[in-house]
Amino acid sequence: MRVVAAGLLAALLGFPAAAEELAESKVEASSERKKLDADGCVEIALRESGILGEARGKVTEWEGRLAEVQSVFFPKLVGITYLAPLYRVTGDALSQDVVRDYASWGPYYHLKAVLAQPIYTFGRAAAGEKAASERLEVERARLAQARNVLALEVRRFYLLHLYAKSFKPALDSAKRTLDEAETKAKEMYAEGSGKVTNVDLMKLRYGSNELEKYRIQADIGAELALAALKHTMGLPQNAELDLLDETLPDPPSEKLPPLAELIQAAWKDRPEVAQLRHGAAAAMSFEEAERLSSMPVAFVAGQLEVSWTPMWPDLPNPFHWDRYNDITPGLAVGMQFDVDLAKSRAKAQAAHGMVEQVAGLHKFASTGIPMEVRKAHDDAVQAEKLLKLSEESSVAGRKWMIFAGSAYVAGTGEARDLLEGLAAYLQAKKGYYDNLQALHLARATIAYATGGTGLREEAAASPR
Amino acid sequence: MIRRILFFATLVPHLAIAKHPAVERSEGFIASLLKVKPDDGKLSAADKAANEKVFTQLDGYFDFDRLTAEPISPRADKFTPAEKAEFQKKFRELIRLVAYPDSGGFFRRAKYTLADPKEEGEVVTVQLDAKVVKDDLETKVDLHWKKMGDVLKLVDVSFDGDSLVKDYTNQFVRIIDKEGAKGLIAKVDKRRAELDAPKAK
Repeated sequence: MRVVAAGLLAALLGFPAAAEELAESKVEASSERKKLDADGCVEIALRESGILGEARGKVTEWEGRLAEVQSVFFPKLVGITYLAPLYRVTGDALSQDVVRDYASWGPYYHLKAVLAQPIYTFGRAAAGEKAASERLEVERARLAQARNVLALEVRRFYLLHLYAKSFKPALDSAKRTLDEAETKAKEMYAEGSGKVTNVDLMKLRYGSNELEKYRIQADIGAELALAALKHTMGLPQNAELDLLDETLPDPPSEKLPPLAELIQAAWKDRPEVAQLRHGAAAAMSFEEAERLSSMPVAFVAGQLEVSWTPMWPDLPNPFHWDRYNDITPGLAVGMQFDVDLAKSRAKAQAAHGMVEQVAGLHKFASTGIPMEVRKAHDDAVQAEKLLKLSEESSVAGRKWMIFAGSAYVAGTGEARDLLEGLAAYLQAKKGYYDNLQALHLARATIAYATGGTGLREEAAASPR
Repeated sequence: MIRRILFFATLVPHLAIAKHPAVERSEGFIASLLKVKPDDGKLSAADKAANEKVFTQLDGYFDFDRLTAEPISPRADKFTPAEKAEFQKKFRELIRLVAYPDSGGFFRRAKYTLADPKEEGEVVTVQLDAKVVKDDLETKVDLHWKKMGDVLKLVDVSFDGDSLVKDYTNQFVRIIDKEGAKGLIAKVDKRRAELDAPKAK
């Protein structure tokens, strides 16, 4: 039993005694593949994730819709042209003997075209264009939001994976110690020395099983979190992913900015705020466009109608309608209208509903966003404080083990104190990693809540 | 002039790498601990002889008189001179048997750094920041050295700032108050008997 046999220094330090493990603590094997930290994972996710592909597609869709609305101001050419066979006719409009010769056929060509340029829509097209361009900005802000959500998810799984890995060495070490204590206790029980009772044995068994449960959870948790990380990064499950950190990184050294500063940053940079701003403008412009939907469109247009065939005589008299041999040009200024005031009012009313929806969302966000920032901030403050206490508890648990060990090896203490110290130490260690993970996650959430991905270059340019 | 420059040029590297005696002593102490072969019950006669040699070397690092007398000093009047000598001898042997092998094991597993020493009166303290990656354990060990004649000897060890000698003092005083000096010696004997029992294979 290593704990029982531990020497003054080693046992006091709480370490199970020796196996040659130095090699393990040496510098990790070099690898050609680049090891990724959390930022590296986020960068890959921002490049590869399907979620962002969808959001980018929405932006493209609305760029197309805006171009469609803007096309109103471009000239339109409509027309028809064809070439057809025609039998021969001789005579004219005034002769009695018009002859239709169905045995003789020739070509007939016809063209009718109108080129129109809208010149004024009485505000209707401008409102539509503004609505579409503001809606496009909404989609761009949604893309930015999707990036921020994705970055936070990546960091969440990255931290979860490291959390499970961080706790494993302490669990493994404690499990080894307890198992060895149990082996030794069983021997002593079998000897009938009276030093160990069945209750003592069961306490050790219970403790060992509880530790094993944690170990299983940590093993599966680490693998599952890694799988989720790959998925979130847009990588296949069989992709090789080398992470830079083996355990949760140390607490961030940068001081947490004041809450007011963070809330101010959120109002400035948060994509949801941009969505609301552009959404409100889009909804109002759309209402305006619907209200003006019965307004006419003023235009200037040119027309050309050409009919030609060698099979019919050309009638030079303009009072005769010469449908097969004629050229009719034309230029006009006009208006096109389709007035339905009741329908326009109804459509404007429906559009106003959108304005109200956006106003409602704005009101919700005006308290919701500061609340979200505050929660992330307070979570970080709480985690920092709890982390400090957990660290102190961890040191206290360690000293508990050390001095219980020193008493045991001198013959003046009980092994039970040492095992209780081990339990306390493990609990404190778990608390430490719980709070360290919470702190990193809260910092990542602050980056999200203030409208960023938390990437280094962003962090350098903002208070996050 | 050139000679003077050459003199300083040769002196400077030595000045730069000169270590405090307490740091050198700490390093020597750790190096000796690392030579101890862990007793798993299978040590050969040659291993045991080698260990005994290292043990003698290690004895030179400890101020055993102080380490064994200090913890019982508040109740020194409860000991007869013979009991005191018996206790000190037995406690010293216990420290040798337990601390030497397993401390070596610890230093083989740990990555550690030694800080610059701090002097307080006659005592020089060297702090050792140790981490055992495999067990996720980190601790600060203070080695307290005091000059005895020409050499520095270990008079106490602190873990995360708490003195081991102080802890032993409190433990022993409690036992002496309850069971007397004989009770304390009996406990040390009992522990020694456990250590001497054949080790499970």
